[in-house]
Amino acid sequence: MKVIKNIFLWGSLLLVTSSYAFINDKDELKKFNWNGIEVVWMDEPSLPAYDVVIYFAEGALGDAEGKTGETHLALSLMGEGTRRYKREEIVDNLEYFGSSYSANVFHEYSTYRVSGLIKDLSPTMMKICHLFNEANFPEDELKKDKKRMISSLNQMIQDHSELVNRAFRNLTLKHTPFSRPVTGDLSSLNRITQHDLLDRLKFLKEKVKKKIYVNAPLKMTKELESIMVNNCRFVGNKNDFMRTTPETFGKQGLKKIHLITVPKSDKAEVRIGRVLNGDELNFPELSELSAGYLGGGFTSKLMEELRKKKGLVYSVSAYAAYQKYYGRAAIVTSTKDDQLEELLAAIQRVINETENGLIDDNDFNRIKNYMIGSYPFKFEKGSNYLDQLIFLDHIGKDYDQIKKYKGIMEKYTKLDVQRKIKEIFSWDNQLIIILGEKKLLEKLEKFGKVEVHSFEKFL
Amino acid sequence: MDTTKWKFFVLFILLTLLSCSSKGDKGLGYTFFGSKKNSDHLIDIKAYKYTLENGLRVIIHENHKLPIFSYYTFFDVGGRFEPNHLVGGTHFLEHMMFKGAKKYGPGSIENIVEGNGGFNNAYTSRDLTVYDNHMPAGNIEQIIDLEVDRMQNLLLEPVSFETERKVVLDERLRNYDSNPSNLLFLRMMEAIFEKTPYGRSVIGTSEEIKNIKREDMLKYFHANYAPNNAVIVISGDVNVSDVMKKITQMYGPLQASADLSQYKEKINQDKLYRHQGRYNRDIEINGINPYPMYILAYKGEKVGSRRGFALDILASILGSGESSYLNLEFVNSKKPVLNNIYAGHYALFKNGVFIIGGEMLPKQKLKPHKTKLISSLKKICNDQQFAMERAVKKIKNQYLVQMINQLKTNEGVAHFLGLEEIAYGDFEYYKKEFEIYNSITAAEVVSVCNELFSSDEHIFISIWAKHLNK
Repeated sequence: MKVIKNIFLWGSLLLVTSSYAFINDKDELKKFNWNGIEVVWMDEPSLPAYDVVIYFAEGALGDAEGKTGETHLALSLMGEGTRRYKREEIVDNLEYFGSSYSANVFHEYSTYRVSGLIKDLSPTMMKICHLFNEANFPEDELKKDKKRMISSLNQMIQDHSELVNRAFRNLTLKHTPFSRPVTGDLSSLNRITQHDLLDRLKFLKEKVKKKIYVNAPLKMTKELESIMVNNCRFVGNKNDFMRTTPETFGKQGLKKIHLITVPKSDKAEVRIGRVLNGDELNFPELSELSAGYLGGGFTSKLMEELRKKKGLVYSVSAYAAYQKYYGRAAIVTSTKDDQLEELLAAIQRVINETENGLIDDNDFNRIKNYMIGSYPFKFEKGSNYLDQLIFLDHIGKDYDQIKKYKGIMEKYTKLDVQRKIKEIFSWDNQLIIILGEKKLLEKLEKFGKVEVHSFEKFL
Repeated sequence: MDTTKWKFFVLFILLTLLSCSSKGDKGLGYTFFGSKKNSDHLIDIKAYKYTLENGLRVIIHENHKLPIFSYYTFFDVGGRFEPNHLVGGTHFLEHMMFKGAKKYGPGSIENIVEGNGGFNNAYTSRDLTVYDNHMPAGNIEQIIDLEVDRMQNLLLEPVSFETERKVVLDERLRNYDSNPSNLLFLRMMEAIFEKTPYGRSVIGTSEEIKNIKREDMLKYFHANYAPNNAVIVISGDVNVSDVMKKITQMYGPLQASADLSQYKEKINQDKLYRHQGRYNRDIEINGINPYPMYILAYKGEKVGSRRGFALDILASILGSGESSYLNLEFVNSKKPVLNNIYAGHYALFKNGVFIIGGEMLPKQKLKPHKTKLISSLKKICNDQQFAMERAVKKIKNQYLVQMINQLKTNEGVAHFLGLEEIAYGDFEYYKKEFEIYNSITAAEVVSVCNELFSSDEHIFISIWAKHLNK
């Protein structure tokens, strides 16, 4: 059969198991310059597959006022049609090769990822270039897409976790451009026009600084370079636009409680957290370790207290994550309605005890070992490795940071963690956001003044 | 521990155990698509298999690129093995397997795993239970010791048992009772597999979870969690001979479960799993979703049958990707009626189900759509555009990409080999599967399509805020 014949053509590429040593092996990481665009190539000689990621130094912060979601739509709807091809022809062609292609838009930057089999790299990438050059976002297709997106937003009432995450972003980052969801909302999606998307894509392609990241056999370099230069016609200039610091915003104030009401629910989704900015963005590994101590893994303090001892929750986690200009720390969990008070009181107690120095040596060392030991798993897949490199480039850190991780983590003490938890997780500085039925109000008022919102406000 | 997440993952894997193959000779890593002279197989995963005297099967694949390894224990027991008074018990027991044994008491297992820089998890399906550890290299002996201890001497400590019952109830609430799409899937399984062990939910209802007794669970544990009912799969930075020495020494003394084969013969009788549902009916569930979601379910095939492989391809042609037939018909058509649609053939070990699921767009009516969908399916098989050779090739290409992506991690390799071993008794069976997939023609897909959709033996289950439960 033809499929087998095709496959045999690339048999010689494949010999042994893949994945990578850390980047200290210089042979595995090459840098090129294609028409002024920097290319980072991670050699993958043993798999017949590739990942190509195009980084754009612009994200949803650049969406026009009232048109949040514009960047996301411009990149993710390129395949809806061009002057030469209809939507169904484009998707059929790309899916025939088994290729994956998708946009991922953050507030500060965006990426477009294409992956598939090496034997199909050329036709797939040429088609993707065609989309970058010729996408015309046909009105009829755009109308259908917007209808689907709006329907999905309205249907979000069934996914309380996703819904409370949207509310958490909105409320923690209120009055900043980061509060808007990158994929748009009910009011913005309808305002975005075909013309907006054409302009946005043109801007991203022609004016914005780009960088290309590849995980593939090195022998594919010339072939891909030719496609990116001649088909995509990507050009890099030193004056290319880069999204930089937006307006600054103040530190998180005192504790506030918000209840997001939904109908017919007998559980409460809980998010407790805050925005991080300024000095709080320093020492991210320490923030990560501190969040990990509270809610990373199955032996964290919160998991121990809430699940193992009390059986109040199925899952609980904590994180401190950041981009270049802002970060957020949060505790994430959910429970039955009638256990909400007990849950909140227990979380408060764990935080208070920790910030007052009640940190057991064994617990501390175990969590630290867990975070150090599990770190290499982030690099097992080439595509995940690329994501780490993209992020380091975006925040302006050297790739050596990956090698330094263990040393940095090892030097932190219990006292460092205690101070960091006090700084970013202190109970009195958190936004407590609960999603559930209105009847929870009475329970929540025992913890302070409560602001009530309907879930619809966050769609 | 997360049944839902894994259930769909297993579904995915079972649907896509495809174009691949391996050989257990000496050597490292795996070879893709070696010359036809040496092998007809597209992927050759180098692994070693051993069977201990007590029946324990061990499969090891070396990969030295990163100093990490994944260690899986597959138990050939899942929800379908439960007696009526223990529905949900396999999954509950999965939770309890982390709650301490004789040597590694309460709290020790996770402390040791995480304290050594690793992480672990588990899942339960209708057919099997799987425990996984992912560790930095150098910890293999520790993991073997820990797994031997809990296979032999699980405590089921009473206080932890009651605390964990609350956790499982919370899981039920969170992942099923409050989740319309999962609830819809549960009800579909209940209906299509009515009166069979597959009709029960793996997690159990809240009432069933509340009624599980520790003594019954302990008895169930001793009957099923034994070396002759388990497969260990290790992939990563390990040395085969060193590991096998330790495994032989540490697992070797464990006693096989004496009555296992007799007991399994009874439970595995094909007649217990035959479809005997009531067909051509609608089930309506009240949910919180403002627009209806539905599943149209037909009788499927068990893992491994040729017709089942053809149904896999049929499902992908119908509902996998934006260019799939049903997507073009109902989602990306000139007048769309659905937000999304999918199709899948869920092949379990003893039987299967073929499903088509969708979510309505606002202002679109469910009943006329159902009529249109069923009528389209009846005509679809003879449509000129459908199941041409190119469409079949497209699906085979997609399967291949999925397969390669799966083999990019130790976790993916170990899980894949373990499923093959537990489903077919041969971790290399994927070679045969690949041959079958590649031999299936468009004409064969058209044939199973006609057979499936000309029948009125289907059940339509929907969930919607405006439905009453009926």
